[in-house]
Amino acid sequence: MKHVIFIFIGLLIATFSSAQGTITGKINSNEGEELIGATVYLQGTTKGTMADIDGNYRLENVPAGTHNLICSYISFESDTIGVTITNSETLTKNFTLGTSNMEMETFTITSKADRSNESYLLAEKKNAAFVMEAIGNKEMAKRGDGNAAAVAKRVTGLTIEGGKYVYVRGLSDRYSKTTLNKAEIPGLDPNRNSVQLDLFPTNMIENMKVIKTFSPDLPGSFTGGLVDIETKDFPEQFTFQFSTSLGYNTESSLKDDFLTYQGGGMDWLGFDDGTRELPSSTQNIPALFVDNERLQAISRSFNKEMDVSEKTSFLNQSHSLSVGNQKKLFGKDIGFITGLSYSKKYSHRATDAFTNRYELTGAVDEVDELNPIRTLTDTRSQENVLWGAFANVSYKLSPNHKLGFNFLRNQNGISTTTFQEGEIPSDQIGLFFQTRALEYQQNSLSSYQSKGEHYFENVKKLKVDWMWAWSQSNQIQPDLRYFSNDYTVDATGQNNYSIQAAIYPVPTRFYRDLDQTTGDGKINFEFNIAELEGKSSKIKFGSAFLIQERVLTENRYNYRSQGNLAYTGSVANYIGNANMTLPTAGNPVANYVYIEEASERRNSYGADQEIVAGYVMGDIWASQKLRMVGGARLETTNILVRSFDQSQELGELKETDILPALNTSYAITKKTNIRASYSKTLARPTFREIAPFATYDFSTNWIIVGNPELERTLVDNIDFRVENFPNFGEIMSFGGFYKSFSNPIELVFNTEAQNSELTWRNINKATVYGAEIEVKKQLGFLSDSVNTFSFGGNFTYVFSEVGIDAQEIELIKSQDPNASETRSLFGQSPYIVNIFLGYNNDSLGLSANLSYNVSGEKIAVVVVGATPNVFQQPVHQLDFNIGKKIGDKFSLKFKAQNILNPIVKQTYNYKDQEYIFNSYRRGAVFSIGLKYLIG
Amino acid sequence: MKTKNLLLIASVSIGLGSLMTSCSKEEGCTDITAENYNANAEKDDGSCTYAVTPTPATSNIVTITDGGSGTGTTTWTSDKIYVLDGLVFVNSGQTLTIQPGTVVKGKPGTGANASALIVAKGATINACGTSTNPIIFTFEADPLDGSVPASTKGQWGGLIVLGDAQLNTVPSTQNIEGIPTSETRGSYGGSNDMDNSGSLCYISIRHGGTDIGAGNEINGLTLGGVGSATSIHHIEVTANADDGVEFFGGTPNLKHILVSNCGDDSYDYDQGYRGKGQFWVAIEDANSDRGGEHDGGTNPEDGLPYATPMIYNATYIGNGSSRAITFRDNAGGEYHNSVFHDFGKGIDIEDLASGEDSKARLDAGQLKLADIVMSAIGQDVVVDNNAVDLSAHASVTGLSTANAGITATNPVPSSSLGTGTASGDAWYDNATYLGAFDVSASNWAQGWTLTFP
Repeated sequence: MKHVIFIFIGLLIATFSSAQGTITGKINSNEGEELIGATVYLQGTTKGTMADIDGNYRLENVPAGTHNLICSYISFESDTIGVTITNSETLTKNFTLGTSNMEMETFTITSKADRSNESYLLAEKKNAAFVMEAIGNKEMAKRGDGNAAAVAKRVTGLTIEGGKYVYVRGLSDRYSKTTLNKAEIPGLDPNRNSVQLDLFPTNMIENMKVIKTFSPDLPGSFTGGLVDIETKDFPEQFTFQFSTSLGYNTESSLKDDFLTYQGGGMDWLGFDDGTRELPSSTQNIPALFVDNERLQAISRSFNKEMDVSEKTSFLNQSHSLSVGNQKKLFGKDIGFITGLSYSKKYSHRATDAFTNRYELTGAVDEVDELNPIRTLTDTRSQENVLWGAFANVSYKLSPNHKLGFNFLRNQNGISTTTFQEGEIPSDQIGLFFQTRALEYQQNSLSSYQSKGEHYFENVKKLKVDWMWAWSQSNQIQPDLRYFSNDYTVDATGQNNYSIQAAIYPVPTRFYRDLDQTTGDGKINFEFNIAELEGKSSKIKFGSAFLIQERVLTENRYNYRSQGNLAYTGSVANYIGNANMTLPTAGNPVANYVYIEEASERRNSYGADQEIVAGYVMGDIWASQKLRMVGGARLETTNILVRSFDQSQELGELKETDILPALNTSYAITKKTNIRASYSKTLARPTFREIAPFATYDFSTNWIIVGNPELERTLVDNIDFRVENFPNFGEIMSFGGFYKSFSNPIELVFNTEAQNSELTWRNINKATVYGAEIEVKKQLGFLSDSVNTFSFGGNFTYVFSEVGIDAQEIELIKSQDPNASETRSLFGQSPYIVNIFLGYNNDSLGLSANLSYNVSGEKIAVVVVGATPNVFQQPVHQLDFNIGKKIGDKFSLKFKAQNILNPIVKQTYNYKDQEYIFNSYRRGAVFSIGLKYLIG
Repeated sequence: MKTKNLLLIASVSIGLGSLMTSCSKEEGCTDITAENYNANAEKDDGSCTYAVTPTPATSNIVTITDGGSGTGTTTWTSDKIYVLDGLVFVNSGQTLTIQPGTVVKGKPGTGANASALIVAKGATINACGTSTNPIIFTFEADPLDGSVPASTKGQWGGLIVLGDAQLNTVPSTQNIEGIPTSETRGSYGGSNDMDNSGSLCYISIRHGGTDIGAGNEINGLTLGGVGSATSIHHIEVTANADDGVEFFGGTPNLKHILVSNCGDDSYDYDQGYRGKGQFWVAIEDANSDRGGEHDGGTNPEDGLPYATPMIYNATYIGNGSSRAITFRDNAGGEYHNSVFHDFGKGIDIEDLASGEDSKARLDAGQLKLADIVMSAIGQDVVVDNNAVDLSAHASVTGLSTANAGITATNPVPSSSLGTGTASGDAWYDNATYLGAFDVSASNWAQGWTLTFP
C-alpha cells in the first residue's frame, strides 16, 4: 500500500483568489474499477487532490480560467483533460484510465499524500492490516485542541489521565506505548514508562495514529494501543504559516488572587535560571553540634522564598510559526519544514476547590457515614510554558532512495503554587492546618532521528527502511518547597500558630533530577512473493534494538527547630537569618531553626534496559478479498536497576518472549471489511517496580518498595471489527475485543506496614472486554442544503475485572465481610463517548465544530481497607469553535472550550452519599486566533 | 542545560551517567565553608574538604553496623562507647546484654539513614543499669558534659523492642513504622501475650526521635507487640522529637517511667495495648503535645481486642496549653489514682457521628477514670471531642479539680492529694496515694535521669 502513498501528488492548503471554482468527478479503470487514491492535479501547479475510496475526487478553489487537468495512477496511463472554469462554478469531469505498459515507471518518491487529511487517514485505516484509529492535523484544528493529549481523547476508546497519560480501552498507560515517528522516546515520570502527551503542541503534529492490534513488526510491549505521533512533513512548495491566539479562562485569567512566588528570570522560557538551584555549600552538611558555625552558614544559604504571594494573571497565549519548502540540492529534491511554537497558560483552581480525606471507622454494617480526616480548601495556581521547535529534512538520492532527518525539541516549565487550609479533625477538633507548596517542574525532550527508505525493483521489489533515533529527556524539580503549620483560634479570635513535627512534615525543600536517554534502531525488509490481480503478497522481516538509560537523583533538606522557636504566622520570619543563629561555644542560643540533611541515597538510582527484537511476517492475499497478516516476533529483555546506596540489592529482569500474531481482513464488499485478529503481547515492569529497595515519595507520603520477583505480564488479545466506508470521508464501524492477562502487575498496599507502604505484585489474572462503535457521516442524505454538515461520534464500552491482592482482601473483609474480591482496573472507564457536529462551507470559507467528550467513572485512588476507593466522576466537556477565512492568506478562529465548566471531582461514595476527595473547576476558555498562511 | 547540578556528578562517579557532556568550566571546590574553597571555580568537582570536628581521640569507640547479621549474642561493656550506624537489630535468637554504665550513641541521619537499636521478635535484650550507674542512649555528638541543651531533640533514632504478643490489626502481624516490610526483622505481633523480650531498667534515652521516613519520627521507646514477661522499669525518655513511649498492641507492664520534654505525646498507645502501668510521669515542654494519645485500632479501627491497659499512679504535667489525654479510634483503658496538672485542655473522648468510637468504650465500661485529680486544667476537664461534658459519666468517678501544687521541676506534691483504691493485682505496688510520687518519699527519678540529675 505504501507504493500508493508515494505517488500521491500533494494535496495542499490552497491559496485563495477572489475567483475560484470546484471540479469534481469519478476516476475508474477501463475495467470499471474505482481507482482509489488516483491523483488529479492542475498542470503546472501543485494544486491537486486524490480520489477517495469510491474513486471520487473533489478539487476545490480552482482559480477561474483554463487549465489542463491531469489524472494519474500507478500502473495506469495518465490522462489529461482541458477545462475552463468560472467563478463559483462546479464542474464534473470523469476519468477512465487504461493500464500502463511501463508498470513501475510512476513509482517515485517525489510526491506524497497529505497525511493530515481525514480522508487520507480513513483510507489508511481501511487499508491497514490491523485495527487502527487516526486523527489528522486538520481534524485537530477543527476541534481546536492545543496539544497531543487533548487530541488523543477524541480517538475511539482513548481517555487521558491527569491531562497527560493515555489510557486505551480503559487500560492504563502501562499497557500503551507512545512513539514519535515510530521511534520510542523516554518518558518523564520516574514511576511510569509512558510519555506525557501534553508535551507535543499540535502545530508540530501531522497526524496521530492509534494501533490497537499487535502485528509482529511493532514493539510487543503494548496491549491497549500504540500511539504514534507523526511530526509534520515537508510541503511540495514554499509555505509560511504564522498563527497567534489569546484566550480567556473564566476561572484563571485576569485574577488578582492568582498565587505565585518569586521565580527565575527565564521562567517565561520554561527553564529555571538557577534561582532554584541547590546552594553550592550543601555537601556534607554537618549534624547539629558537630560544626554549628558551618551548619549555620549552610542553613542561611537557602533562598528565603517559602511563602505564597498573589499577583494578577494574564490571558493565555499561544503562537506558532512554520516554514517549509522543496528545493533542488545537487540536482536532487530536498524538502524541509521547520517550526517553532510557544504557549503560556494560566490555571487557577479556587472555585469549588477542595482536598479532603475520609475514612471508615468501623464495620460497614454498623457505621453509616465516613469520618473526616482532613477537609481543606485547595487553591492552586499554575503557569505553564511550553515551547517546541522542530525541523524535518528529506533528501531524495534518486527516485527510489530517500533519506530523512527529524529533529525535535520540547521544553516545558510548570510553576505551581498551592495553598491549602482547613480543619484536621482527626487530630483535634478546632485545629486548623495550612500548607503551602511551591513547585517548579522543568521538562525537556530532544529527539534526533535519521531514517531511510530504499526500493530495489529488480530484487523482488525489495523495500528496505531503517531508522535510528536518539532521544534525551530530562525532568527537573528544583527546590520543591513545602511549608506547613497549624493554628487554633482562641476566645479573642486570635490565631495561635505552631509547627508540629509530629503531625505533619517540618518545612522541607526537595530536589529531583531525572535524566533519560533512549536509542531506538529498526530495520525492515519487505519483498513481494506473489501478485494476485494487483494485490501483492509480501514477506516482511526485520529487527529492532532499543536501549534506555535512566539516572534519577533526589535530595531533600528539612528545617528542624530546637527549643521553643515561635512560629507567629510569618514564614519569612520563621526561616529568617535571625532564627538561624545556632548555639556555639560562648553563645548558648536555645531556640533556633537549621537545615537538616534528609537526602536518602537509596532514593537515587540508575537503570538500563536493552531490548533486542526480530520478526518474520507474511502479508498474504489469499484471494482478492481475504488478506492475512501474521507472523511472530521474538523479544529479549534485559533490565538492570542499581540504587546509589550500593548496599541495596540490584533489580534485574531477563526474559525472552515469542509473540505470535495473526490479523485477517476480509472485504465483504468494496466498502465493507471484516477483521479478526489474535495476538500475544506483553507488559514489562518499570524500572522502579523491579528495583527491590524502598524509597520515600515525598509528594504522596508513600514508602514505595520495588519487587524483584515481578514477572512481566503476558496478554492474549482477540479483536473483531466490521467497518463500512459508505462515502467519501465517512465511516461506520463496530468492533469487539477481549483481553486476558496473566500475571498483571498491580500497585498494592502492604497491610503490615504502619505507613502507606506500597509495592507491586503480580495478581493472578485480569480480563478486559468491550465494544466500540464509530460513525462519521456527511449529512447530505438529509437534503442538499445541509450538505455542508457532518456529524460523527464514537462510543466505547469496557468491562474489566482484576483480583484484589489476598492481603488487602483480608483487611477489607475485617470491616466489610461481603466485599467483592475483584474490582475494575485502575483508571478504567466503563464507557467513553465522543460526539461532534461539523459545518463546513468552502465558498464562504466558514467552518464550525461542536464537540462533546465524556468518560464514565473510574478508579482514581485505591484506598487501603474497607474505606471505599476514590472514583473520578465523569466530566462533560463541550467545545465549540468557528473559523472564517479572510482573503487569501488570513483566517480568524473563535473557540469556546469546556463551555459547561463542570466541577471536576474525585469522590468516595459510601451508602449512597458522596464525599469529595478532590474537586475544582477548570474554567471555560474563550479564545480568538489569527492565522496567516502562504502556500 | 545551563549547569548540571551536583547530584549528576555523583551519578557519573558511580558509572551510570553518561550525561556529563560539558566540563569546560573551571572545576574546584565551590563551597565557601570548605577549607579548600576555590573562588574561581564555577563548577564543583567534589573535592571539598572540611575541618573535622575533633572527636575525643579515644580508642574505646566501637561502631556497630548491622549488615543483616544483627549484633549477635554479645555483651556491650561499660568501658566502651557503642556508636549505632544505621538501624542495628538484635536478631531473633540473639541476646544482647548491656552492662550498667554503658553509653550507646546513635549516628545522625534521617529516613533510611536513621540510627536506632531494634530488638527483633524472638530476640532478647538484657539492659539493666542501676540507680547510680544507668545505661545512657544518646546521639553521637553528645559529649555528655552538660554542654548540649537538655531540650535538644531529634538527633538520632531510639530504642525499639518487638515481640510476639497479640495486636488488634489485620493482618495480625505488622511491620514497625518507618521500616519497610522488605526488612522482615521489623515484624511484630503474634499470639503469645506472655512473650519475653528480656529486661530493661535504669535506662536514660535522650535526644532521639529522628524522622525515620514517611514523616514519622521514632519514639524514644517503642514497644511493638511486647509480651508481659518482659521486665521494664525505671526508664527515662527525654527530649525525644516524637512520642516518649509508644505501645503498639501487646501486653508489656511498665513501672517507674519518666517521659520529659518530648516533641509529641508522652505516652501513646495503638493497636490494642493491654498491659499494666504504674508510676508513669510525663513532664512537658512547650513543644509537647498530649500527655497521653490513646488509640484503639488503625487498620481496622474497630479491631479486637480493644485497648484496655490499666494504669495506676500517673502524674502528667503539661505546658499550660496542651491536652492531657485523647482517647479515640475505639481506645479503652483505665487510669486510677492519677494526677493531671497544668494542661490547657483536659481529657477528651472521641464521639463520632459515624459511631464506633472511644465514647462507646466509655459507655461499655471499657474506659474508666477513677480517683483522678484534674489540676489547673484550662478547659474541658473531661469531655467528648465536641466539648460535651462527660465528667459525670458513670465511668468517671472520684474526680477532683483541686490544684495539686506541683511543678515540672518538682513533681512531688508537698501534701497528700487524696486517697484512691489500690489495684489489688499483685503486679502493682500497694499505693493508695494519687499520682506517681508519695508525699513522704523522695523523687524516685532523682539521680539516674537527665531530667532530675
